[in-house]
Amino acid sequence: MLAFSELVSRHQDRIYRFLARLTRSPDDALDFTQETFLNAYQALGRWRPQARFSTWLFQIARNLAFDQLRRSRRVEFVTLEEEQASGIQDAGPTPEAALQTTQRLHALERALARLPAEHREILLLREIEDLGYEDIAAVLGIHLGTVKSRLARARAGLLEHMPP
Amino acid sequence: MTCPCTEELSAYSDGILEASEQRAIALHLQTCVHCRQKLDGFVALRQGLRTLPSPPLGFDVARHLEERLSRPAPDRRRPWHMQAGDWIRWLPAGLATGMALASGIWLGGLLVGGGSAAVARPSVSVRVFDPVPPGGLCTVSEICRLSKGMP
Repeated sequence: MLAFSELVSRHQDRIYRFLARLTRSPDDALDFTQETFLNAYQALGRWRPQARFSTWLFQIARNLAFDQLRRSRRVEFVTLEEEQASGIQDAGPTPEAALQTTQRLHALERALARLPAEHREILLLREIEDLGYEDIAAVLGIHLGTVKSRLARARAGLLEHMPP
Repeated sequence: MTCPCTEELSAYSDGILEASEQRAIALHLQTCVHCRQKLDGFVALRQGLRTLPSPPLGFDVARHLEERLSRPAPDRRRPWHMQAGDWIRWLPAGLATGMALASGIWLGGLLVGGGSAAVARPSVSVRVFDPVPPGGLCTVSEICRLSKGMP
């Protein structure tokens, strides 16, 4: 149990970050994070060292989130609270640059939130979690070719939602 | 070279194409402003997404999980489903109930049986007791002898 606790401590922030952006609900993300590690602990015997532990955790986490989405028959995950977006800090050498950066990040958060969940998840896995194509294919249970095409569509979709 | 499709540009930005394809697209990008802008857009998105602040967890999942797993599992047995050991605990109460029931039936039987005996008994008691009370004089010796011989 001690060794597993260390694994949880190492991966919990990453799994929560992914789930919070995917579900756009901090409460749901917290519940799913706990469930992810509980499920992983109970299914440790099924984990194969050939698969990276983090990849396996992402797979459990996204399956939990999408199962919940299907069960509740929601068309989309709930809207991100404004307070969640307020985590964006001003950063820049001058007040103008800081404001511009903040506005750009807000716009990106909003654009990301407007994407379909399957586009959002693939962007999160690739751009934020830095997973390779093979790992993304394993997490989402799709072929490499599908990863390539879906990622391209997701990127193009996100660009469309960004202000000029 | 004609303009690469979005999928190829996206894959190019990730550097996952074959070396020859990477080179061909790199050459094309030197002359095509449209594709250059598209690629710059992808790169800017990546940089933007990586600078987004991480939502704070603010909760120690590891410790919570340790506590949750150290708790005994809830008893999911159905209430009527008893283990072998449970019967022993209920044995004295069961015996007492059984004995109370048996004694009740026995007493009830006595009452019912006693009622019928009360009707039949007078004829028996007539036969048991002598027609002449003790110390009385037997005026007719035949009657006295007959009554002695009766069951």
